[in-house]
Amino acid sequence: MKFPIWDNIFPKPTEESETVLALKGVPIFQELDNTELKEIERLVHQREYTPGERIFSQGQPGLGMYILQSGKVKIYQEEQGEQIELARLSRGNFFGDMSLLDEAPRSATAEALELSRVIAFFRPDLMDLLDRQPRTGIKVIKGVAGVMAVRLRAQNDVSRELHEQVSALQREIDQLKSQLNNQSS
Amino acid sequence: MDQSSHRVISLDTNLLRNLLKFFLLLVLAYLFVQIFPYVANVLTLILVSVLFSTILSPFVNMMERRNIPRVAGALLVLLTFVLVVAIALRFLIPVIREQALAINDLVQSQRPVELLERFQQWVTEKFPFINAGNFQDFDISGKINAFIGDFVSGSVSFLFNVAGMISSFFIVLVITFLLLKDSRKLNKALISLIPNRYFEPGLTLFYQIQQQLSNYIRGQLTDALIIGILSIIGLWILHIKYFVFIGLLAGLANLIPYIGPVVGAVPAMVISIINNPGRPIILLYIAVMFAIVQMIDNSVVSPMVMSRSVNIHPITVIVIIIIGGNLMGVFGMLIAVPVAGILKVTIQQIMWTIKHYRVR
Repeated sequence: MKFPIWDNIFPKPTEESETVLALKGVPIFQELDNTELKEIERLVHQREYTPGERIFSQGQPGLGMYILQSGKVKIYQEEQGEQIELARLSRGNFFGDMSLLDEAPRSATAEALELSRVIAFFRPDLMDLLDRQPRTGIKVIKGVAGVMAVRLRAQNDVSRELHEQVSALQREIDQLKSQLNNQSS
Repeated sequence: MDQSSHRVISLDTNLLRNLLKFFLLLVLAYLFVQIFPYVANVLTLILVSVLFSTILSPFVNMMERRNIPRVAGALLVLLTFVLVVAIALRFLIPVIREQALAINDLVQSQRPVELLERFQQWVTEKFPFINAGNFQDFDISGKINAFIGDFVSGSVSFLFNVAGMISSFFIVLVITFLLLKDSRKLNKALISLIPNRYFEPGLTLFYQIQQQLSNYIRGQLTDALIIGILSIIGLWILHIKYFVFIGLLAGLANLIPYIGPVVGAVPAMVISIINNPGRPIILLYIAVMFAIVQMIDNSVVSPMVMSRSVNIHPITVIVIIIIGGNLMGVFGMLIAVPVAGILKVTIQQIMWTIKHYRVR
């Protein structure tokens, strides 16, 4: 015999949902166990975007991150009316995660290339999680910090390589200059 | 088809669409006005439930931080709240009722009129240039008697109306429990209605309004409670009769900025002088007591209770109170400024969102 009121107040645990599986694939949520992931599932929002529909625009205040469950998304910047494509994302990728930490304006625009389903996780929900379940909230923040650290290290490596290339070019230019000076004298 | 005719057709379609939207809005507004009298009671119950859930939500969150499931936490907090309210009412209601009725009898008696006539006599003796005939023409005693009588009767009947809402209290309890347990589900359901184009701005607006309103409501009520308790204690120390009723009035009146403290102090002074006509010094004691309570409010309570003020100009406050009084009497005066504060916060957030998201 079923008791709807009882089932509503004390719901039974169900199998892992698609949302939880998608969350597991994101490095930010890697340290969370199943119970904690179910709590995140209660906080996230599922949205569907048609081709050409913007998910967020460059310059708008950042609100949170998106995880692509299906479809394709284009990330691009607009400068003086020109579009500069930065990336094309597909299933399992995530974007906008920096906005989980601050309200800085979005640095790029995200637009759906085909029918796309996304999971949205926003900063106010993270703050609410920190208030109600601080341990889970801290794990998420740690995850975000980890992703930032990896990106920063990769950026440092790229900067170092570029610096070395620039230094090598500078040395060549100096060599050529001194050769020209010697020839002219 | 050339470009200019294409542009004309496009303009016409947009104009038609906008006209249709406007017409639909008008129809909805008309229907709302027609239906409102029939659903006002239900809306009031829902509003009271939302108010209770806003006040109790931090306590449920506190339970959740201690790993108590939200359902159990909501039940526990709600039961505790009901118990505290029941105990408070069990002891307070008889005292308030007794004092309110006693004040009502006092102001309806001849003592205020006699006192006022003695005051009029004193004025005409000290200041003979004031024509006694003119004084009587104004019928000051009659007017003041009517004002005080209306004020006290209004407060008494308001209290009894509140008490009479016990039958609706159980409905409010059930709705409050569901709101505490499922507030996130309800939020998500509301948010899912926002179209993609306005999703992030709509969400920002929703969260900011929710947070600001929660802080504001909690702040206002906490402040009113603290001021009420301090006033009761102060009046008790001064051995003022009917200190519970007057202290509660002072606490409620504190919801009205600038005017509230005066509204709280005046009944205390009037009732004290009626009871003790030979001790005018009591007025000074009461004024000093309320001044101290206000100092504590401004320097200790208000800074602790964040987001209580929405910075409304004093002239606007007075206008709002008059409008509230005209619409709903004493109750309207009490809730006018908090309601205006809520509307101000909402409009400010809408403007911020439109500006930052360039919503078209």
